[in-house]
Amino acid sequence: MDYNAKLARNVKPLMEYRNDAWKCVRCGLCRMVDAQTIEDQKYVDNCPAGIMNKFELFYSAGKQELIRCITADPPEIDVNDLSDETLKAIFTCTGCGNCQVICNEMKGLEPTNAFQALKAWAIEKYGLKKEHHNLIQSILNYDNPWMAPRSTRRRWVKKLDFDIKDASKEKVDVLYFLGCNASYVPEINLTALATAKVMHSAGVNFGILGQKERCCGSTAFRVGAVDMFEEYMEENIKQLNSLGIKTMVTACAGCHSTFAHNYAGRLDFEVVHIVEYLERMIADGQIKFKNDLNLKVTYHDPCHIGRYGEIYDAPRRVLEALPGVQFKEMKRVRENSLCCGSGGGVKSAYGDMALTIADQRLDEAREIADADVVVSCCPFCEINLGEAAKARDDGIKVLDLLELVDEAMK
Amino acid sequence: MGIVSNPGINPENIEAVVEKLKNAIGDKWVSNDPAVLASYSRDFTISPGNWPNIVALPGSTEDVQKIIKIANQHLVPVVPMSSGFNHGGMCIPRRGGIMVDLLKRMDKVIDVDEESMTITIQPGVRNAVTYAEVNRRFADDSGRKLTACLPLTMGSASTLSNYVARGGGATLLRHGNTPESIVNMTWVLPDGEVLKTGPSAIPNVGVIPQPFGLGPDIAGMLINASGIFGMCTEMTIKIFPEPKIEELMVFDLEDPEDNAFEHVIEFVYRVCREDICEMVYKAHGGTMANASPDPEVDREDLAESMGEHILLAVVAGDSEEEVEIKAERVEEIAVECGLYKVLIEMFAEAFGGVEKLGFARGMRTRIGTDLGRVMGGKGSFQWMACCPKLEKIPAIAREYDQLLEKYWKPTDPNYPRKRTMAGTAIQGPFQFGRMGTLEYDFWWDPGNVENVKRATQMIRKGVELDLKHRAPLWRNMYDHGEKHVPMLGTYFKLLKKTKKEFDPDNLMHPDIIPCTDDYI
Repeated sequence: MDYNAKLARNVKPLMEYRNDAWKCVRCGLCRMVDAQTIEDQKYVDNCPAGIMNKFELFYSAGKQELIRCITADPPEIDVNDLSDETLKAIFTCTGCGNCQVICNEMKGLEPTNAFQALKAWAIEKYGLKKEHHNLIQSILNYDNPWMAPRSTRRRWVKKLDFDIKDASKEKVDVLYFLGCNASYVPEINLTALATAKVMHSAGVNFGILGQKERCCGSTAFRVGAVDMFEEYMEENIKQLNSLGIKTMVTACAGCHSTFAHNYAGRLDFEVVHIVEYLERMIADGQIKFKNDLNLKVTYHDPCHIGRYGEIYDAPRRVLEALPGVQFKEMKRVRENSLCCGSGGGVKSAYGDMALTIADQRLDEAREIADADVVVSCCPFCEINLGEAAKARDDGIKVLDLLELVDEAMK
Repeated sequence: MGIVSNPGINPENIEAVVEKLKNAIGDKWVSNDPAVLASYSRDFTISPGNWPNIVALPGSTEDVQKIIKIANQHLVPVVPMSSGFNHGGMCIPRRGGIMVDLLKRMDKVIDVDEESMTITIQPGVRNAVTYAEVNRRFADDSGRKLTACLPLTMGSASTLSNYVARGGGATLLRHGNTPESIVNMTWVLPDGEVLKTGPSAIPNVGVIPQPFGLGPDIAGMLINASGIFGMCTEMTIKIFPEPKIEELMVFDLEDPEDNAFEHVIEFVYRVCREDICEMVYKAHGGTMANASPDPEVDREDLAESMGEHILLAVVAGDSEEEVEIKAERVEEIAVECGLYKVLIEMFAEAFGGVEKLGFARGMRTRIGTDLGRVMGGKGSFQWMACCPKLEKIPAIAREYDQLLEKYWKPTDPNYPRKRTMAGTAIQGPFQFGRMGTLEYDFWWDPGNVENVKRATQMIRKGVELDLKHRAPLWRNMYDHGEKHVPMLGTYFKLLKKTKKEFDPDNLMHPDIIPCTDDYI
């Protein structure tokens, strides 16, 4: 099956999805994992908003009908008086891409992109959700969604026992683009430290942008603030293309997806997720593992490098290369992976929903993979799954793949 | 927005019903939000849409009872829906009322019973899940699999609803069609009472794998009734052992111009008469091309190269020798009927892999979970079917072809009919009878007004064609019932009387079948 589902590529204005909305046949395949892969009734449904809210409106087919009603001439629903429930249906879409992967291959439709356009339309009509307002204001003020000053973006480097080049001042082959989470969120700082240590050990000529690094714009795009995202993108393209780098490496699935797909064709260098880069370094013998980890591990595919980026094998091959790792898959994996529940601004606007989905994912990790550790490669997944793990009493942990790699290299 | 309304459809009454429903089944599971209502207002067919006034999501048979009792108190229509995917307005709330969504919370496989070889399911269990759960729970080392009879539809479609609605052309024709596999059912009747059919009518008997209880079998009245006698909330169906070895054989015509349909019919009839095939299916190139599991395959070229009459036959047995003997005999018959065997390797290469689609393991056992691929064509897929005597099929098919020539027109003028699913398909006759099923397929663009008009005409003319040839319609959809049911004489009169007796206020899915005096 070809999973190149055009996710997040060329999202158009809502009106241009009108005919697609008519063409949705309401088959319901898009709310499930690929029907051919089903083995157990517990692991079938794969639309986080639908799983949590149940009414048809929260699933892809229902939202297609909503788009059809909104774009009809005249509209078949009062577009100036949408209820809170309707707005909830629009904004609880995590943008995970499951519906589009299933539907695009069969019908050529792009439901996830259409729902992204629906969010943008709703924002134009009703303004930002108040929970998203602070995120967006913070990006405008500080170039990050965490209301953290620019000057502290590089603070994490002090924990290293080596220095990192400033890519804005000296030429490097590889730019390590941290993203806002790795720069500011303490738990995700660990991923930044591990990434830097691994690249340093491997002798990679790399640098960072420090306080000159700006948000990639992913957060703005995912919550539906498309205009603002486009402004950010233009500024970032100018800055990044001026650096003369050959490769940008990022350990953030959201940044990777944004640079690789939303900026597609506009950057003068390759964009690589760290798991792909790790795989290259392992194959080239640049990094060696010494430490036996002795862990039972499963892997959670982040939507943004999974369905969006089709990077499925690299993280698994890296895990297989780590000594002492007993790896077992969950049921919903790869293109059928269940979203952690936090994408598309859901974590900030509907935190309970995000945590419940994360908890269900951890159940699957325990019951199916008997895992002590859920490994992922996305700070958003790690924050959300990690928070859900802390609320449980079964000791399950959530770690970034880089943390394991760093540990195995000690 | 209703086409016609019931006395209970007024704002005050609806508000009162919403409150009562929330108290009865929980706040969370009832909505009258306009966008929620809109999302239950249409299917993808030519059927005109209509909004319900309320949507309710029951979690149990008891919840369904409460909903129906409240509907009765307030004279509000009630319409059931499970997966909602159907080929003809079967879940459109034509007079508004309460849409009862049975998919979302009643989605459990309740039991798989090894001794009686049955599976008990709720309405929200979908075909792919039915298939998976039977396999998961009966996994053993013998190499033999068990399967339920899956209707030829998507893995996402409700198994229970397909059985209740006589899901078209099942995957186990050797054992009969879907309704023949029903053992027990639980129904909530129009007055809110629970009816159990089959052996389960007697309390605490457990699952006995026979479809009838004492006295006349009233279960038959509920099948294909489209919800006019209540809602099915639980069903026990038989499961069957699959042969250990299966082989797909593919045939094409020596001379496609030479009475093609007659040759095909002769072949289908003879192999079924000798009972040596698990399944026989005549598709046309467009269908096969759309069913290709490989997205890299050029479907349009494949449709062109496969022609109008591709015949698939599955032979099976428990040993290589048994399968070989059957295959030799099937090939002999084919040659006598003017057909030739296509090398399976060549077919597989052109088709994009038979293994993945499940043909090699037996189309009949896998197609229920794989048929999503068939929906890969452009636009919407429209389907009609009838059950004519075999000898009538060539004439009906030719006339249908003329209808296609006249009414079928793609939005894309570079997309010729040969390359689409527009055409006829034939399934093997039910064993020991000279009856086949004839299916008409065509694609249309629901976003195009001209296409909608043409599709509507196609449906109407197709129904008239079937009835002209005295070919009984497969099931009630669109206005099939309007033309068909009044032809039934005393049967029709009894149906009207029964409906009146069971549902005097005509609240259960009104107008889906024309059997009331106030039918619109």
